[in-house]
Amino acid sequence: MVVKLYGLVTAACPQRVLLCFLEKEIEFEIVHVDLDTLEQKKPEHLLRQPFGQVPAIEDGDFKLFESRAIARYYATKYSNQGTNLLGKSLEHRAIVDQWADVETHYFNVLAFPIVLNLVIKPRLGEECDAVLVEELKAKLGVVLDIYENRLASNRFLAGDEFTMADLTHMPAMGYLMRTDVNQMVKARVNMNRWWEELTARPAWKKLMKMAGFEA
Amino acid sequence: MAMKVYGNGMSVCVARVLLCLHEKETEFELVPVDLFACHHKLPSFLSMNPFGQVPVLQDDDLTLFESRAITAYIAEKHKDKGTDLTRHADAKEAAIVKLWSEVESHHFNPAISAVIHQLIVVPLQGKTPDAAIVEENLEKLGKVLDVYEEKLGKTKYLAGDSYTLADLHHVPYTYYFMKTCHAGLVNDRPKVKAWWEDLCSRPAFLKVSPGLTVAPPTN
Repeated sequence: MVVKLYGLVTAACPQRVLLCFLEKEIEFEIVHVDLDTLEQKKPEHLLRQPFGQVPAIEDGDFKLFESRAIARYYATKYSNQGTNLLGKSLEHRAIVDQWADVETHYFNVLAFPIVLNLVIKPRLGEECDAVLVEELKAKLGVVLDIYENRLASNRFLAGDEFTMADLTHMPAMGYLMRTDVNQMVKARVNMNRWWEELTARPAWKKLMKMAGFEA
Repeated sequence: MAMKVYGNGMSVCVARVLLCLHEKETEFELVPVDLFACHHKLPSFLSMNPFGQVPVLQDDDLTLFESRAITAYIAEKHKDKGTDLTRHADAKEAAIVKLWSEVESHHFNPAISAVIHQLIVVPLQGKTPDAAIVEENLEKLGKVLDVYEEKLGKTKYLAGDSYTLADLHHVPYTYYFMKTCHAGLVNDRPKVKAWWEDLCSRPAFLKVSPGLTVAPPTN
């Protein structure tokens, strides 16, 4: 039986899980949840995800939500196939976790409201909070400087190999790079190199094709 | 050599790690960091955590930051002693623990930390709390606790019938929150209240809570 992902291929959090499936060569089926009609807030979906968000998965009787927990589960379950996303030793896994948590607590808290204002609100015909965006970009610059320094001496965030720590950044980065925030990344030599390497990965290219964003 | 934790017992994120160390019956040394003198912004500290925050863990050659990455490491390294905080023996159960840990990170923490920042940290800086931020985040926190009330009606703890990191990660901020005038958000939800009282009865909590000494202003 194939795992079902409830969500859509263009939304960032489902993309996190889809990237994991693609990197791990796991078969999956996407069950479309129509965010435009707020299907995610309706009773049937709330049974899968009580916060009314995507994604959620059903794998036989097993159900899970929170994209980072889903990705972690499948990276562990299929540790013997595809890309090793979790790290090779207890200590390496801890460093992977550390930079994955940095994505949650430093990067996503800034990236999400930037993408909300620059990408999602215009699509919904809502006004973008330009003052807020500038404040967020200034804070993001400080965070990106730390990443720049890290990536100066490490090929990827957790060391020499691509791991969950890099993957978890990719969906929001993909959206940010479609805004003028891309100048902030391109101005940083190591971040630019890192992003180019990430987007050259076959799994990313497949995801972008599925989402209708040809590279 | 015992693990070293850099930070102070009154810090929420440090307390998260200390709770885990006590649950896992692991020896450690707490190395205070003078936040008021901005020692966490010195190059010597930034070389351990470039984001300039506590806690930092040192275990032989390993230096680690991010409190939840630290708790996961301690729980994994010492999985054979103390409380089973991750249900590591079963991949699906471990995933449920991780799920509710993610809920704490993404849904609970942003709302409760914003409230605590306004009600406890801002007055310490000599400023007035922003009532709009407090109200907005209390509403968000209430909705999260509604989900918890339903979940805790089905399982004793968030990820099932035993205490795990998914519960532990909530403890320090909730402890401070219960000192504010908004404790009713917890006390008015019977299952959440019972869960909180259970978390407070644990020996590890009784060792760490005396260090959580910051309080909201009494006026």
